[in-house]
Amino acid sequence: MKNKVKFQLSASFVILIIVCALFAKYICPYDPYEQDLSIAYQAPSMAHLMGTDAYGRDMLSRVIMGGQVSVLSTLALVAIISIFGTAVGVICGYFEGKIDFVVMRLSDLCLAFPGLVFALAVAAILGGGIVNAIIALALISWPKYSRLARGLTLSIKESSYIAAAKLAGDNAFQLIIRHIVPNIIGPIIVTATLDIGTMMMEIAGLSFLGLGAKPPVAEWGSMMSNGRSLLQTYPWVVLSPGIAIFTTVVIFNLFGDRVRDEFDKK
Amino acid sequence: MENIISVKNISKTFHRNSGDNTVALSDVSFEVYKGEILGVVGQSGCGKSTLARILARLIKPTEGHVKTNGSIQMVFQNPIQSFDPRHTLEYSVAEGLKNKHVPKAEIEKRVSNLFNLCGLDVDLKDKYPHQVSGGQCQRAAIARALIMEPDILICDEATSALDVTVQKQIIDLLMDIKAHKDLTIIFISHNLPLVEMFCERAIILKEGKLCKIYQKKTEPIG
Repeated sequence: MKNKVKFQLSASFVILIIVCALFAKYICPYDPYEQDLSIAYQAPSMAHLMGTDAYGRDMLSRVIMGGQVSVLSTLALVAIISIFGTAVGVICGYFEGKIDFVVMRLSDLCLAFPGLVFALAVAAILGGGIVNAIIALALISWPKYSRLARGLTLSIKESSYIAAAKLAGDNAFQLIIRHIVPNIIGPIIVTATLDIGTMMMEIAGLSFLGLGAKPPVAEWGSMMSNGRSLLQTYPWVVLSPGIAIFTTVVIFNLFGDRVRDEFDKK
Repeated sequence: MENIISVKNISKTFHRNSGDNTVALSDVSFEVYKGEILGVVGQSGCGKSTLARILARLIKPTEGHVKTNGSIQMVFQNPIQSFDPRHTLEYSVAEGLKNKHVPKAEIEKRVSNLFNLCGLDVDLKDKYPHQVSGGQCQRAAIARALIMEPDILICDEATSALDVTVQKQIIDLLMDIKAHKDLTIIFISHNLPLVEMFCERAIILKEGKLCKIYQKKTEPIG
């Protein structure tokens, strides 16, 4: 299969996931929060394709609604860390000096600490909830982007076209916006795309440990956590969100690989 | 003759993270006269480009000072790499005027005029650097420098990356521009015959030091 077709195919799946996440409310066959104990733990059937959980809630509807929280929170997290990290990295790389030294030592500190443990500590201090989980993961994850952006900035800021732009009267802000950011954005986008899968797993991980989304909010990690004792008796309660996480992470990773291929072509 | 640049005892040392220091220039002094074409000659690594960047105020000397009585623009060695690959030639050429808030119509007119003056097809305005030849790109680089109407043009190995026929065209273009505009040119090259042909005076750099100043009429190079 040609690379372009692979790119288009993976992009179509990603768009499909995002559309499903955005319009989850209208796609769900049942109300994902409506409880009906008379149909609790029903195995997958034509009426409930992924079965029902302990409260008789339709698992397919909960998986679709859970996608909204999981996917959109992951995209928000990746957007925050990539934009913030890139901005910090570009400023450090361009100006160097004391600000660079201080910020880079801070990022060394973040990188040296086990990510999920730090995120757990931050989430524990801030309390549960998906917003706090995003803040916790953002605090630990931005240095990867700042390191990358700083390195790229250092490598291109000595180039002739930057010197030419300086002679044309560009100030530091104009140089960064017009010349540095457009020339480093490719690797940043590739890293961010490949990071979506990892971040989705980390958000799900925090939720699984009870530090992310709280019940009754449908979120894949917390859904798996709630059903973990039922793996042997009612496996669909755990497997449905598990398959959703697995499929989504694989699709985003494949998309990330294709995006990298597209950028590497030149 | 009237001085347009006065260089007094400049030195430049680059400090490396490893602790090694590289002395690029050491106690260099000379003057550039208004309207002349001054050659700067020397082997690779002798400090020519460092000198050019100091003159253009892109970097500061470690010691000494440079007094300039006019605006400076520069044409770089590798024409394609001296243009931002993300922007069209027109964008790069017009950037300086945009920074001066010149009206859009005026910018378009001046860019077209300069493309004509530099022997470039106006259709190339919308091309990206990798879509044109090295010679065309260097012409665009000269247009970019001239659009700012500088008093001094520094050509840092401006013909080195080009093949011989294109080198000749670029030199002819610079001669032509010199004839039309009141321009002082500092022509940096490692090519002695080219400097001898093109320049009225030349300074020779060796290992960061100025070792000789040649005057074409009285003491020809070669």
